[in-house]
Amino acid sequence: MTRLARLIDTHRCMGCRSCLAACYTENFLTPNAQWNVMMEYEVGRYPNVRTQFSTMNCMHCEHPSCKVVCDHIGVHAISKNEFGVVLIDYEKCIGCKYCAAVCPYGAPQYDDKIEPLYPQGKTPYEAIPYERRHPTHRKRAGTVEKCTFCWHKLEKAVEAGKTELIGEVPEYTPTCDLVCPVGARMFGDIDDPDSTISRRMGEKKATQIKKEYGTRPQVYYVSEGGDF
Amino acid sequence: MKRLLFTLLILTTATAWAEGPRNLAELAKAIQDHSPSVPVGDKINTAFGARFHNIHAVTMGLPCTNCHVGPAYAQDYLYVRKYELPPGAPGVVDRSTCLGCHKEGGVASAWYGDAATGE
Repeated sequence: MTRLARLIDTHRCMGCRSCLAACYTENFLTPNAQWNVMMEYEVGRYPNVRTQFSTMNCMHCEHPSCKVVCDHIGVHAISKNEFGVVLIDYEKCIGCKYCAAVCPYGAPQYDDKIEPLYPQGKTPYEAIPYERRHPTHRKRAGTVEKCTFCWHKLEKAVEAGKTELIGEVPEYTPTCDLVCPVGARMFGDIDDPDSTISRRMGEKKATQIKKEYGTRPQVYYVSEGGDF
Repeated sequence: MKRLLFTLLILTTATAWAEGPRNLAELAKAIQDHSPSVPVGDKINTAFGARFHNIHAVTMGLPCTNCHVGPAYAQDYLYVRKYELPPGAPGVVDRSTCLGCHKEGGVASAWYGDAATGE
């Protein structure tokens, strides 16, 4: 079985935001709904202070509260596939924002209006018609969106029967994880004890954030003290 | 006539008391079952006046500040959808407030924990 996860090393992250830019380009960013954000804050007490960077996106939880509530109200717009990726079906979403209300990480983003990036109008990239886009990029106003672990890329690995290459080759790896200049991000199968991500997680004592919610997120962090 | 009206009033109140929920667990169950004794509306939305706020603010009687904890998020609050509040808007919501009732074993529908997915 394949269980996909992401590792973010906050010791290495320097807050350059390359991962954000990559996500925005890869996934047709609309200004009202950012799938990937950078948290930046100071820790410590003067004069011993430093800036902490922590990039966040959907955690693709094993027990996703967004899916639970969506199913509970009978909408069933959120699914979790066999690889652990949580996806939203824009055709089914009714824009009630219940998923956004329950997510402990604030991942679901309500997109009330699909606006162009610049006031002058759409860039050629934004003008790509919906029929030529992957379903996860056919965004609709009045629905909720979030990170898909770049499912449009992972899906190609599944179709080609090359799931073992997910996280190993660029075409089968989420774009944000490819561009990090300091190697602070990693993606792969954590059910494989020999995978690079599994080994790094063990070495660095990576852990999830906000574990008290019991949602079992699939994005792991390396941070001060090994837990936060 | 007055006596009749008074008797009717007593009877109505007594019936409502007998049928209505008497504690938090019964109230939560009544909401989940769409019981007519707890009308919270069918408009599924988080906007003020829809079911979400009707349940928490009107039926449960939670004060606004119970969930809307402050004018801004703490700097180190790890949350993707941080936003700046317009003047006069209620404060930002800290999701840890929801845990008390919505974790497995709580009185309300379980959104968090293993029980949420039936495992």
